[in-house]
Amino acid sequence: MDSQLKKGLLEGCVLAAIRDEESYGYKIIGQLSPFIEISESTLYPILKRLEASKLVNTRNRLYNGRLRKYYSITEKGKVRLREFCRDMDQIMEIYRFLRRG
Amino acid sequence: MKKKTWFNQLEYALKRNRMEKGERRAVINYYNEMFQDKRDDGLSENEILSEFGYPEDVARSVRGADSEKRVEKVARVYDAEETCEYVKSRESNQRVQVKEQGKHRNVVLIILLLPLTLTLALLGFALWFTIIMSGVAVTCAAIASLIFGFYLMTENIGVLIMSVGACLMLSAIGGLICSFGGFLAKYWGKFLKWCFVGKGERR
Repeated sequence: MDSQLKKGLLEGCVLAAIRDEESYGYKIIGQLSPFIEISESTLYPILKRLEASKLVNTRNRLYNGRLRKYYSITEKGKVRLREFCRDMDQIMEIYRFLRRG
Repeated sequence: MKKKTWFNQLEYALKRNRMEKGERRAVINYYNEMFQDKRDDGLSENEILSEFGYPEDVARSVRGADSEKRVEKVARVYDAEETCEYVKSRESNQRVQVKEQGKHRNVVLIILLLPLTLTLALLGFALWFTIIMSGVAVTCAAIASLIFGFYLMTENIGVLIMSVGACLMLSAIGGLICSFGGFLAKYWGKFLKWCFVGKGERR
């Protein structure tokens, strides 16, 4: 898949993965991998970017005697996710057009 | 132990990609967490490391936007043994290169700057020696004033208190002077080393 397109999609997908409850790196990969190819090294910069632009919050929580970083969506993140879904609606229109052609 | 090697390689690769220390730590923590989670999920060490891929590719990929032309991971399957050897040989090659460059610069610099560096070294040593000696002298004075205070204690308790005070003050000053001397020596050493070998490590 085109990397530019994929980057945008991944960002939206990560936000969607933590929409209802907080999640951590490995779980996010598990949630997304059925739909889109994602590896640890591609997820890392996305999480970093989302955190830097305050679309997600992070906290370290103790799990099994070790620390795990949990990500949760912020209000700003929810707004971005809604925008993203609207964009996808448009893309679906384009998709239908492409298919017909 | 393959895990340790992989993480060392990652750290090294991140360094080579000029990533800051804090950011390196974050990446390492992230991968440590991933490793543990995969372990808890029942994957073996080998499986996890081959999923992670080559440390070099990971180091490039985690930087994200600023490395668009990253290698497609699928194309290369990580082989723990092979990479160990590969990275080791590359590391030692680079070290040799750095050393040789250093030597080259050394020869030119030593010949050109020998009189200057010798003078600087001597001056530095003299300055350092003076400072350390004055530090020692002040400390001696502190001890002397304490002894003096106890000696005269029979006459007046005020004298004792005063000399204990003087002792404390003098030892503080002595300590300060000595540690200043220590600092000076340390940075002088660094400066001289820099003169001879240049900045070292970085190519």
